[in-house]
Amino acid sequence: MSLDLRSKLILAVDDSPEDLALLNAIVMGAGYTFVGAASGEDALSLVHRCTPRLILLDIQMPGLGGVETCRRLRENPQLRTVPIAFLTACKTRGDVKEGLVAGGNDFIVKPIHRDTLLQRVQHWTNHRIAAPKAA
Amino acid sequence: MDFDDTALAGLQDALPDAEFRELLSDYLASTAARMAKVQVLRAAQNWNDLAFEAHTLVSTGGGYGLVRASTLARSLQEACKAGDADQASALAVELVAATTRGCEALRSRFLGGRTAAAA
Repeated sequence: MSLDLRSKLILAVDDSPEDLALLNAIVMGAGYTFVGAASGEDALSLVHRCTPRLILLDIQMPGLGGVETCRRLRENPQLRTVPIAFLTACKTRGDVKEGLVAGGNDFIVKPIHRDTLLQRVQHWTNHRIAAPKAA
Repeated sequence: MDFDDTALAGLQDALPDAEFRELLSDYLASTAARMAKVQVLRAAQNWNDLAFEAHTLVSTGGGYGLVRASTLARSLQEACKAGDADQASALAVELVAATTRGCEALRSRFLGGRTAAAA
C-alpha cells in the first residue's frame, strides 16, 4: 500500500450506512484514508478537525441536504480548493446546475461502481481546484 | 438478472477476507430490515416515506450487485412520487421478492450459503 495514497484523506457524506460502508471498503481497499459522515451536519463538524483531499457528498439526505452542505463547506476557507463530488442516484439537469452553483466539481451517479469511483477519486486527489475569485 | 457478482469481485480481491465477509453480512442484515420497512410502509400506504426508502435502495442494491432490485427500486420511487398507489404497491411486492432472491445469490456466491442474516 502506497504511503502517498494513505496521506490522501477522503471524506464521504451519506445517510445510508450500507453505502457508507461500501465507500469505506472501496476507498480503504485502494489504499486511501477514509472518514465517513452520516449527515451534512456531521460533515460540517468533522471538517473542523481534518481537511480532506476530496469530499464525496450524497445529495438526498434528511436534514441538511447535499447541495446546502456543499454551499456551507465552501464557506470554510480551508475547503475552497478541495474538490467536492456529488454522489446521486437521480442526476437531472437541475441537480447538476444547482450542484455546480453550490460549489461542486463533479457528479458520480449511484449505484456505486468500484472502478468508476476509483477513477474519479484518483483524478480528483491528484488535482487541486482553483479557489473561487473574490466577488 | 437478480445478482451480478462482478459488482463485488474487485472488492473481494482488494479487502482482507474477514472484512469483506463482514461488509456483506452487515449489508444482508440491514437489507432484511429495510425490506421489513418497505412492507410496513406499503401496508400503511405511506408513499412519501416509501419513495425515500426506494431512493436509498436504488443505490444500495446496485452497489452490492442486486441489479434487478435496484431497477425495481427506481420504478417504485417514480410510482410513489407520481401517487400511483396500485403500481407502487405491486412494485413494492416485486422489490421485496427480487431483493430476497438477490441476497440469497450474494450469500451463496460470497459467503458460502446461509448466514445469520435473514432474507
